[in-house]
Amino acid sequence: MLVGSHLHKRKRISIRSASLLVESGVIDRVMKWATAALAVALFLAGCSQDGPHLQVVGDQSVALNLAVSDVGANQPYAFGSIMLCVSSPATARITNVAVDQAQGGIRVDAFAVRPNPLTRQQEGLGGQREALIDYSSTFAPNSAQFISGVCQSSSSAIASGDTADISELGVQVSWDGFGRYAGGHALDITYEIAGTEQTLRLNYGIWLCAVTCPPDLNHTKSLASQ
Amino acid sequence: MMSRTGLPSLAHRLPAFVVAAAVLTALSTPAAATAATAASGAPQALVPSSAITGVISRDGVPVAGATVLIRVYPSQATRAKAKAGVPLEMPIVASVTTDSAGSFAANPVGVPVQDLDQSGTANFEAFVSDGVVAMPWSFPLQMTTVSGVVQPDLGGPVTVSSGSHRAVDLKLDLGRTAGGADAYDPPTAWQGIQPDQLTPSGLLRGSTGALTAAATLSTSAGVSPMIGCGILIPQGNWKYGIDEAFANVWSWAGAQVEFQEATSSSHTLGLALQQSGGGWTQNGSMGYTENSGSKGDVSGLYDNQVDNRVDYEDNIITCVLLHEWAPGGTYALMYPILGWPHSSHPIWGSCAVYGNGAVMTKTQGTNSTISGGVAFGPISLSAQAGWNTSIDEAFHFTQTSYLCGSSGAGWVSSPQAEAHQY
Repeated sequence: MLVGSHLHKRKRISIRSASLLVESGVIDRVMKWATAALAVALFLAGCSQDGPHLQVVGDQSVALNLAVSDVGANQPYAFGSIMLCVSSPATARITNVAVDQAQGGIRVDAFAVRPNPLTRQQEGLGGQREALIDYSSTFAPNSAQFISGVCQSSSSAIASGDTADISELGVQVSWDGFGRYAGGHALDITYEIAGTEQTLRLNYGIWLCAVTCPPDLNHTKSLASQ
Repeated sequence: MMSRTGLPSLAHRLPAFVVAAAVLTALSTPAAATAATAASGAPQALVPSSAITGVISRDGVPVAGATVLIRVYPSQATRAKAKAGVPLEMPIVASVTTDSAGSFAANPVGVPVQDLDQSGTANFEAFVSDGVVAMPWSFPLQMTTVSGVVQPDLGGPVTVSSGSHRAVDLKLDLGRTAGGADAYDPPTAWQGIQPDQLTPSGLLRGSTGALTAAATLSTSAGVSPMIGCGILIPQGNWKYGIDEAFANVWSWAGAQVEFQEATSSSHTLGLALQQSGGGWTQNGSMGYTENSGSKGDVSGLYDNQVDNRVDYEDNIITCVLLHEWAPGGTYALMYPILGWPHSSHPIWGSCAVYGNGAVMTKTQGTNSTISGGVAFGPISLSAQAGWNTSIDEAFHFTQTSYLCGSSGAGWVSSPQAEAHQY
């Protein structure tokens, strides 16, 4: 799964409302509707997702893997084509991108989002041996990274609908050159949205190799383990 | 219990305080706000309310009060082991009637866990009747098991993509040119087995959209949606080694493709219905899990069609009383490999550039449906290979290349990718 899971979420919860109720003496009335309201809240919570969240555009089951041969120590490598959107109207701010369970000395040196280039007569970022900022000025890794385009509800809508509001995530990595290769099977994208901090795990493997990458690095995680 | 101030004792009321605080804070969270927004009808819902929805019509006119019975097929493994003539039960797991707009919504309840295949998918038959004619229509649906109960897999942030089988939205027309389709995988989005054949033969266009031709049965001939139905009787007849067009590989010599297909890859293949008059139709499709127990790995591909060979089995279902031919086994994996002339190679517009030395691999949940992808014989059936976690497509870039998709969201989100020279 490209979007495997939202790893954790922290919510800011206050119980000041309860104290106010005690002081105003409306407990009995509150109790009468509390049970009903709780049932409604639980029902609604069961019917919906946990609020707005970041997700990949389109098929949620896609998994990717990029293995790059002949990458020297500290040589930047930028890759993209990761199209993101938010599940409902809200703005997500990406605060960090990391290689999940990194093997060897791989680093994420920069990341940035930009409006969907494919609807602006531009190419998407595939994989390039250069820094993100050198690849295109449309990536501004030193600025805050916001995503507010709302996801379409079906693949047919994506195929025929407006995808101008979605964003492309570009990531720049390098490695320390020790060993044969470095990398990992997934990326963890940490972001803030609607007052919560969440982490989106993308099954997007990235591997940098000193010479030709071993064949077993050319497969996504699920198949590599078979 | 009252305190000296006359206020209720906090200790006595603590559970109520907790409940009240929980309700208020829950209602003030983004989740609740989102839920409230969803309840008010604002555009939020990526999750269908029911796994099985649809509209029943007759010559394009919605049919109110039509009966929709949902039955579950025995699993592929059960059917494979069944002896000819020994009946297998297909229990009814949902029964609904259409409203004034011809619409229905259902969630299957009581699906036996043994009817799930390895990927958690179950195959269902919707048996629809308006009292005059009836139509069977088959489809797979992804299920999940929670506390031992099998239920639709609608949890999580779901985008119902083509072929994901998280939900189905049936459009069935019982009229003179009867047909059916799943709105989540419309025939108009299918690609042809030939590159220039983009729509299936037998495509119907009605007020409910594009449908594929389907068989109906006259209820006056004793076809009842309720009595004595739901028994599958294997006939012991098989058609072996039918070619299934699995995927078209579009690339060039500087970005050759490696395909790896492990065991248990899932496919959705058309179900062939032999009518009493001898005609054939495709009444829906069935999920099928590759079961050869072997792996396939081919490399050096560009401008090729990758095929599998599958076996179809002959069943009769009571009430339908027609021969249903369903996919039941694997004959050969990733064979044969056919070649396309380069002039057939489509060039799509949403591209990214990859330099040499990169190997970009994609495992995709669903492939695009290939119209006529199964060369069944009397008719060609649709084929959709679910590129589940058991299938990889890897582009080996030895020269700088474009990697492109057909959708404005890029090649990753497109059903298929193509690569060409930079």
